[in-house]
Amino acid sequence: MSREIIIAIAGNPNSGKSTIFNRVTGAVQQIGNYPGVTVEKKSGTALINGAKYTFVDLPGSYTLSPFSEDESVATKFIIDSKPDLIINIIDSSSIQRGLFLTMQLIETGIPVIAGLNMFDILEKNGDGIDVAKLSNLLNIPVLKLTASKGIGMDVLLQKIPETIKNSTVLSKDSDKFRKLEEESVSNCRYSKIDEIIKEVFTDGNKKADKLTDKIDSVLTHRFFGPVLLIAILYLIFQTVFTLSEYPSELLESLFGWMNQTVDGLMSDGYLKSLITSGIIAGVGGVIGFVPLIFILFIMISILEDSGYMARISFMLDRVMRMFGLHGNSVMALVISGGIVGGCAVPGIMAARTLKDKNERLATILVSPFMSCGAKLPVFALLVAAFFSSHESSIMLLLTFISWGFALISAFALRKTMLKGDTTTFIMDMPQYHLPLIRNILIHSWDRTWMYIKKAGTVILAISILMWVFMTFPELPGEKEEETRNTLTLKGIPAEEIDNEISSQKLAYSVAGRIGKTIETVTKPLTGFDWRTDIALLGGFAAKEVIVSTLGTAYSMGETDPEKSDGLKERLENDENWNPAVAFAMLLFVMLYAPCFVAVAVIRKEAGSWKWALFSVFYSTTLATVAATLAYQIGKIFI
Amino acid sequence: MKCCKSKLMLSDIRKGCKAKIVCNGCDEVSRKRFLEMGLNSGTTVSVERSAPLGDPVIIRVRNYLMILRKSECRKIRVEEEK
Repeated sequence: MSREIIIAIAGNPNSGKSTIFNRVTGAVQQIGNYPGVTVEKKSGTALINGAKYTFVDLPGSYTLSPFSEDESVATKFIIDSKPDLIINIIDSSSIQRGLFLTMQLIETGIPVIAGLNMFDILEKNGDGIDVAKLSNLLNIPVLKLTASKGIGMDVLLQKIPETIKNSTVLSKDSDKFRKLEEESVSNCRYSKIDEIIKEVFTDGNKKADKLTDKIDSVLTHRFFGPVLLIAILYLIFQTVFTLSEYPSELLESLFGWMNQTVDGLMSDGYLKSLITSGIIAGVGGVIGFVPLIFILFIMISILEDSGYMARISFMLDRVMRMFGLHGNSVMALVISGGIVGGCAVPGIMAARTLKDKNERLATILVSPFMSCGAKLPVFALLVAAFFSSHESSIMLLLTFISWGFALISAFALRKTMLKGDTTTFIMDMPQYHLPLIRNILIHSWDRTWMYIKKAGTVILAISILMWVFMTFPELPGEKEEETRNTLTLKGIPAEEIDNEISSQKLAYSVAGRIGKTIETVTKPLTGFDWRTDIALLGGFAAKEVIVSTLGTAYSMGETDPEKSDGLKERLENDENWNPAVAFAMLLFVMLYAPCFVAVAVIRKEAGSWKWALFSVFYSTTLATVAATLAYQIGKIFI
Repeated sequence: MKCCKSKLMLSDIRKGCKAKIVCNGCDEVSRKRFLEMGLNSGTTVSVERSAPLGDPVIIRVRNYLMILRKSECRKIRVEEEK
């Protein structure tokens, strides 16, 4: 068969489309899958009876007439690409709503198979659906599915070729699609749905979501709701930092051992310096945080999959609105790192669920302030070095500060450049689900793998580039001799002379010269020395580079392998560093320009370079002001 | 307005009470959105609970839960149902 057969998977949000997609395609290789916020379509292939089929997982939508951007992705795909078959996934428990989309899909003339997912929950609640009758009334195949347990999947796969073969090609005239928009048609659809439901649905009369109701009466309680929200976030912090401590240390000592081994095996020279100071110090610094990031992503996935994230949006909508944002902004901000650890790239994309353009832009522009996974290494390093007695409290404080900056900036933006009323907030409130361990692990690993891949590619490349800038041009031999001689005459111990010389070498390099120039401004304002400036410049490309560059800057010329203690100890003992500088640095890193990848995504999502450049400019300005204030005030107390 | 006889709005309905939609909004955009979410006239809804700050509220319609802001509820005319 020469032509590619395309099968679209469509359905309401939270109906389990992605679970089905994962089951069918066995997709572990997929990227950027955020449960509840599949904002871009994803595709994968599967073999059925030896023939190859392409499956496309569409973002969840309630209707084919587009209202928000993420829903229109589904509409556009179905109407423009005309797939050969649509698998319509319906959450059995909310079939009344799901059928609206089903009717629209059938009206497109494309063959449809309806899958009643989470059928086990429906049965457990004592309700029933007459599947055969429903199939008859709709005139399409209808199947019972429980995708989380893999029940009904074989039948679904077998039905696919059959349905495509039996479908008579209907005229897919565009008039039909236009009709989707009309109001009278919608009303007509509902009366038809009401009739169908009367025929096929048996209400077990047990209150369907009694459990959800009970949980909500506590978790969204007027008083206990917010208290529990803070408690849950704090618990996540504690868990993440406690659990990741040991594996992180293990990885760190592994890289320390690698460094020493290379040091012992190779003779001094550029290659050795590149491997130890450039690659191992650079990439190792990033990889050391993999356990922390993995555990964080597990926590966020649990919040999303369980349905608690929707409750967070619900509880905080009123607060968000005071700042000109929207309940759904919370989701974008949390994915960006609002709890700690995330990524602004999918966060900015998740902002598509916002209907109003100005609300969306404001959310996009403040999302990069959140503590993404790349900033975490910097935070963790500085907090461990200078605020070690209150590690998790300081991290929690940083989270509150980043929210504060995000909300106040959003407020300012909405009062000036992005004026306008808030729009509607209509959102589906999913029932609580026990998250599937399999799904959680797949999602968390996907995200962590992206982080590792970035460390192995972008970060590696930038680390090497930074090493080059920090090594060349070299300090001339005679100058080194001269310094050594003068210092020896002064009776300074050999060890300190080595340190002084390596520092001079770095200062002589391209990066050092740039750093020294900038230092004249940053030193009095924010207390950053030239090495820190070099690291922060590298951080414009990607925030991971900050720690790795600091690592390189502070390890260069290190001659004694026995003394190769961690970057943390070096900063602690460095005269340029103190808690005031560290706190200014924390604020600066939190707020300054988004990484290259995020800037590119902002351009794409906001639709113009204007906003992308604006984002870089205003966040760097804000960061400079905040860091300056922090340092100047902090200096008084030290 | 074709259907605005009722003076009662969904925002006036107290927690735990039921109401029947008489008119789902007078502006085009929100009416369309309400319609897509299953809030068409003739449908029975019940107010389930409200957020800690009193707004938004969760309502039950067609056997599922939905979040609505008070400002949206003020657009929906209803009549009380026992």
